Amino acid sequence: MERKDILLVEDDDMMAALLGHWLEKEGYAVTTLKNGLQVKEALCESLPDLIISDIMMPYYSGIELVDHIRNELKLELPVILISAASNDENVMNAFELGANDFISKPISPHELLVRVARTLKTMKA
Amino acid sequence: MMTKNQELLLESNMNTDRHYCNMADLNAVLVDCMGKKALLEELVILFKKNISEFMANTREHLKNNDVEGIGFTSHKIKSSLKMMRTQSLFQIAAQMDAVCKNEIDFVHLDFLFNQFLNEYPSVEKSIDEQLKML
Repeated sequence: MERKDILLVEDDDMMAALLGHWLEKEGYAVTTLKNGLQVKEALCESLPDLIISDIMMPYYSGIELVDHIRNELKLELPVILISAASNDENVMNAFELGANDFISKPISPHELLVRVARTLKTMKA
Repeated sequence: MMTKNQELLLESNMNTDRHYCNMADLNAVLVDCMGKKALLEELVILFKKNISEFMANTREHLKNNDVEGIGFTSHKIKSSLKMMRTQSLFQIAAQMDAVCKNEIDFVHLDFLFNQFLNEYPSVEKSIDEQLKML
């Protein structure tokens, strides 16, 4: 089976280590970056199959990242946003800008993996 | 399958009940780590690093009356605290986050931050003790 590339954008090393472990154990190839600016540069080089990004990060938020991907790069690349601040405004902003899914912290491994698989399947269909 | 030490730790958690749970719960974190102790140890190191950065940055933001900065650091640290099940520290950070969003009271923020500083050493001690027992 083809190994899917996931770009994980998380400035908290602790969260990145845990999410990365869950995803790799499931068989995904995971690259971790710490902020949206690094992602902008990375996307010029190659495209992953899916991006999972925290919303609240220094310099460049996850919401700005989705805006960049959808409105500047014009890419359909699936994006799942995660945040501890699961207020309506954040969620609505994320979906209005074209995020494919939103997961509220704390995240369980089961929820993450189900949502990742579902998003990848939806994009393939 | 639980080791003898894990069983003892679980029993000790149950005996000391709420106080111990307030400190941290490495058994729950070990479950998150899918039983991998090396990952748990890595998370503990990263947790301590995050706390140290939170303390240094918040101290600086308080000195500069930078409410946006305090709000950001308080919000960010909540994930790490929740991950380690450090209920008491999580509540303090959540209050700091709320004060930054709602009332913006630096005396209150200073008070909460000092509470965090006072509480943290016992949490770290509890984490170290639990880690040794696992």
